[in-house]
Amino acid sequence: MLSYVFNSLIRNKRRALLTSLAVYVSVFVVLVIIAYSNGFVDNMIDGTRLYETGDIRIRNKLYSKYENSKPVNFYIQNDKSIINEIIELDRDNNINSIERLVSVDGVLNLDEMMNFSLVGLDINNSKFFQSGTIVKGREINSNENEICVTQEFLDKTKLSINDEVTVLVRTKNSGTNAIKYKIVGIVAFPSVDKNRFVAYCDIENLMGALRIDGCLEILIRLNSKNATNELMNAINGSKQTHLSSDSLDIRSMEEVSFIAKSLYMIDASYMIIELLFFFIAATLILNTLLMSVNERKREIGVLIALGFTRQKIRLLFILEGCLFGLIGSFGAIITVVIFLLVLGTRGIDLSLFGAGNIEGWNLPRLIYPKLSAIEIIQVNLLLLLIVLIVCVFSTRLIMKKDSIWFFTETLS
Amino acid sequence: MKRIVLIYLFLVCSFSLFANDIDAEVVLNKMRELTNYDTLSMSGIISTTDAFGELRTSFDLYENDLKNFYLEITSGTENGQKVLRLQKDIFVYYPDAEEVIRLSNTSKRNSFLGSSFAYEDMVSNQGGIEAYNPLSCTTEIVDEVEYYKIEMQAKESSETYQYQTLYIPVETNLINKIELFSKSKRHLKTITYSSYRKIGNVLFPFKVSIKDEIKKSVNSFMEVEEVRLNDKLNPRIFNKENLLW
Repeated sequence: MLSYVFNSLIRNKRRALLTSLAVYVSVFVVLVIIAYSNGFVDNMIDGTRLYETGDIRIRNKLYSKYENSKPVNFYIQNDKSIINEIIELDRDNNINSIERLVSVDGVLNLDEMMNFSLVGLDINNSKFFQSGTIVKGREINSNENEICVTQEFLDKTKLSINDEVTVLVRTKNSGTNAIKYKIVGIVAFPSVDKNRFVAYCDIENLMGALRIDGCLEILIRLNSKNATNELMNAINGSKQTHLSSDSLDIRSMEEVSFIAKSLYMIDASYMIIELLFFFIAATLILNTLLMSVNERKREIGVLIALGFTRQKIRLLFILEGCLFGLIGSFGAIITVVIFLLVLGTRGIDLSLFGAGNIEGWNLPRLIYPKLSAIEIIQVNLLLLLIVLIVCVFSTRLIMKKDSIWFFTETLS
Repeated sequence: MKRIVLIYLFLVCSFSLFANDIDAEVVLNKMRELTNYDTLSMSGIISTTDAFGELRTSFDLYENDLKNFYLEITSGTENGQKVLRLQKDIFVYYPDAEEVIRLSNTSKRNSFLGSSFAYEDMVSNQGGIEAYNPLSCTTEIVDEVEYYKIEMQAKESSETYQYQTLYIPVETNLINKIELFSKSKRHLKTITYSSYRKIGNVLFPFKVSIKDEIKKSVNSFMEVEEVRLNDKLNPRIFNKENLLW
């Protein structure tokens, strides 16, 4: 039976090639989309977790309420005590890192005043800062009036390393203060947003300039996502002096991150694209098999006359269809594996696709496509199932007509 | 009867015409005679109250006959900050940066020490007839006190406040209140002057309150602690380089 199926494929090579190619393209595109979306979403979530929200974010409630105007007067009082209290609550050592953050809008006093973002970090322990790479120059020294800047900062200001620049910031009392910073290094981050017109400085230094004695945000990152609820419950039930303050806004990433909330929409849009490609593949297989049955009516009639049961003849066609699917999907798997081996380590530069113009999504500069073996098997099984359904549907004619009908149809 | 009504209407119209015919320039010149000085040296406190409490900052201020001034903050978180107004320019010395910065037009809109005062208020000419044309001058009774109400329009479109209304008590002829408006006649700020004291021959307000009509939760109050008028001031005070010392 198998040799008959293979012979049938070889007899019409072009048709077999085109149908297998359609399956190949569909499986390849779907697998690439899944790999791309896995990498894209994971990188975005990781970026949001690392730079924006942590797994749990603590702010002053009023800062959250008026966050668009970045009101530094609503800082977190006793931030260091709060961090100590959180560490005490973490009995299972779920905390990976706790980071204090101050991010403000500054004005550069150059020939023309320029607005930019100034971010204060605990340079020595900052996972945020450690995720970046010093491209040129050196890191900032704690408590020094030094900044590391992005390449975009240098491009826009025409400044260079070792230059000094005066920065105006709005203080706690809504007054203005100026600080003179020395540019000591160029830093590059994996996130597109963090490489914009931004400068990074020591948090204590910036807090002094803003006249505040607490940070604006505390980001808690955990070893496991499952530990979030446990720690949130411990924090909310805490009777500790500073942590139980009503002025604090303590929320998990899922509650505050726009991206985390939009994940289901991203998944849904990818699902629609995947279904579209499966539909195209299914239509092509359906068309091929319908044509195959139509072209081989005489052959079907002979087979029936020779005593082949209709189920057996139908099985031959179904096997033929499944073979198209298997050849196409096998080819796609090999190509996808090569694709992952190359781009999974090199990454895809999103700036080539205009990602630099999208702000606030923590888009990664490079996307590393990811795909698990289970996902490859799932996609192939789904496609084969669709092929099988299409084959059964397209060969229903065999079950309905007798051998004479097939002969007369051929003659007509 | 008809004749009586006509005579009555004529009298009413004549009276209202007469009432509107007060010369604003005469009122303003009279006010200036009472309050005019060449130079000013003073120290005071600006206190600003908002939803989060009160902030008090003391300062020393010197003003010369060209109406340039030098202000130094002497307490609070911004201690050591210095402001120099030279004509329409404002220069600020920031002790943390040890640098003098000339404020851009945008920066001038920033609040001074978080108060209702913006830096641009320091270069605008509230109440000044040099920069504003009187549009009307009437009298109005508010809380049983009769005021001259003078509405003025800026001569130049670059002026921060395009319209202002002055309230000057008829009895004292000292300015009591200025309402400042935008080009679209939106009420932006109200400045109230009170506690006039005689320094030599000059009457000087010891209390000034500034109310931001947009951010209604913020109120600022300036109280003069000590004032000297018409002293000879060292011209170096009004030198930009002096800010660095």
